Amino acid sequence: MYSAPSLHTSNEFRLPFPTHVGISKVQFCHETGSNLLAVSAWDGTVRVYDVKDYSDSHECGIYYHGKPALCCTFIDQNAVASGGADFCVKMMDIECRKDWTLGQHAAPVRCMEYNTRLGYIATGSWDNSVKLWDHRSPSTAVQAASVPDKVYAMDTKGEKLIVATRARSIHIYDIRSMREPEQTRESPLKYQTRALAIFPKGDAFVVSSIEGRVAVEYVDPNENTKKYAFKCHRTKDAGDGSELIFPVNAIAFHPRHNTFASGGSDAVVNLWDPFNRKRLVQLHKFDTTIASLSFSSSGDQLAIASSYQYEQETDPMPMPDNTITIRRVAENECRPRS
Amino acid sequence: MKWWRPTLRRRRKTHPEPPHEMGRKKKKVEKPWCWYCNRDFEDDKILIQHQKAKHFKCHMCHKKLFSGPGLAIHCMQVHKETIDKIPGAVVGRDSTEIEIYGMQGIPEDATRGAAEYEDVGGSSKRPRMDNFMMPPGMAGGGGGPPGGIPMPPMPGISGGPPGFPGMPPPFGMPGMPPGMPPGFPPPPGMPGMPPFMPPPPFMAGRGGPPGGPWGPPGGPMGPPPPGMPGMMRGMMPPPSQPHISGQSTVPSSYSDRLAQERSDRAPIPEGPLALGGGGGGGYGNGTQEQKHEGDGDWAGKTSSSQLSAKIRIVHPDDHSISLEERRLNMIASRTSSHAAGYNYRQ
Repeated sequence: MYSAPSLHTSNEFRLPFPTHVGISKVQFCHETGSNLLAVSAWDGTVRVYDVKDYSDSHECGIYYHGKPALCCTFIDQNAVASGGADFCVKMMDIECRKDWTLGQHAAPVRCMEYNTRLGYIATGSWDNSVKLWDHRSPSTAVQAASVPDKVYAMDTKGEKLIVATRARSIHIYDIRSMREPEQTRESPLKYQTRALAIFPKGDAFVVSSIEGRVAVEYVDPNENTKKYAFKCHRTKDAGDGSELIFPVNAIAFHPRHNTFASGGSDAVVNLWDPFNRKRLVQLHKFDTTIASLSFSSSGDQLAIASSYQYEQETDPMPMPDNTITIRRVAENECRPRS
Repeated sequence: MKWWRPTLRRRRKTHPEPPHEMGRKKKKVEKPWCWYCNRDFEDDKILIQHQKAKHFKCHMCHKKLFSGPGLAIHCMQVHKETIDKIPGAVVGRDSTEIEIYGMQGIPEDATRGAAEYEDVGGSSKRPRMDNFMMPPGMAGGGGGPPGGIPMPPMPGISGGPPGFPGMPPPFGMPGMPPGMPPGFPPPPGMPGMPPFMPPPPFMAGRGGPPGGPWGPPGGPMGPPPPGMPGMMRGMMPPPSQPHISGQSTVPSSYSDRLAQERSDRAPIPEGPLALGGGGGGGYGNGTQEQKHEGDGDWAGKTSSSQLSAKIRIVHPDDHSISLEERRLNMIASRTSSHAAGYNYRQ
């Protein structure tokens, strides 16, 4: 097999993921007590790993899209769903290892999240639409809404579904009535939106852009006096004063503390305290671009997908390994400093 | 009583302005000089570059800040370290509290070389510095070109405190060559000044430590300084010029010069990174940035990742397409040219 050299230190270890396969997204199962991690990849595969510890982590399911898989999410401990460049929304029963197609978009499916409150899978596509799916009644979407441009980032929590498009617009929907967005606003960031994540409390969300910047916005427009943005994922050369600004590809919230992690093309992961506006911790530099991040349901593990995303002018040679690192997160690394 | 008022005002005129009052004196073109190290420069831009590189650069992350207080706040917020001296500054001029930017913010009574006046021998070690060492009260004419002849004291007109010409240095500050460890720290606040001087107007007016890059509310520039002529205000860059957010209000006697400097400085290519002021790296100055989010439309439409000569986004130039779309296009073109080039089933 192509398994990565299992590098492990006291607080992190690597999953046995093939190092030549580009990663599009990782996501832990949201159900309490579950240690499952789904990985969608550029080779069209969607894999599920049981992540326990260094010695006992193994693949427990795999299926294929006809084209690169761009997103994935858990429905529950026994079901995973994914979307890909084949326009398909697929899902798999992990126990039976059986997969099927739930439905289709008219363009690649870029984003997918599961709404635990209503039990719907939400998908965002480059066909300028978002759809809600009920995995128990396949073939047609429960609800759909069209947005003005391609969906680039999306998240859902509670009754809210927030969609960010290529045109830098942000649409806030109530999942129960998708006909009209509750709010439409412009992204607070001037450059292309890269990731969006809603606070676990659901009252605010975080947007990141390709230009090393992250913004915190509130759902309630009256609360938006508290909004702010900050720069991150940049490196400055001390010698000649040149600066490189990296896309912030991944945002992941800690399930309990409302703190979040950001991952950039600088191969760095930062943990932020959005209330005190402080960085809690910066993890070591990884081999290459941080493509995706996900906290486990308990919040004590962070999955870090490091995978080159073809953002550089000249691609690195040799191609850096694609890795999935599981990092144990200590309480003091993710709790807001009071 | 009216007749003496102009004289009073003239008495306050100090360093940066040549003494117009003395008609017979040749008006010297004074080069801008660095308050921290007394070096002089061809123009303000180069001076500011020098200050950012030598005096406002963080020794830990090499970020260039915009002012001494900005550097101190950056080190405190980002690295949790306090700095008590401005790097590369001569003794007595190394306070992190005074907000200097180019020639702005220099205490009114300061003169070129004043902080190192005692050490005549030291001057030979510093060829680049312009040393004519005078007690503050004597330096009425301000700094001249290197090698210039010190002007004789001019009581009543000179910049120093009246009654001080030729006073011995107020505290025995040995002028050391830079790099030597200072024997003792200068008194905080206003180094190089007699301790019993009243604070210069700009310090008194601002009250408390300089605001640093946080600047006054209502825009990075703050209100125009009192006494600034209306037409000068028109010359100032719009408030969306973020790289001058480190400015404080300025003493009125500098207003003409400052307006000039500001308009000079406006075209410095800073790029969007200057957004949010030069303060703490990243998180600390969020509110600042938010202030800027709404105004300029400097970016958005730009489709080049090269933001300035030295600043680049690590992303392909076309920002209207995401990395994923681009990668799929790459795969599609590869599969069409080599039929078996892309095999998702491994």
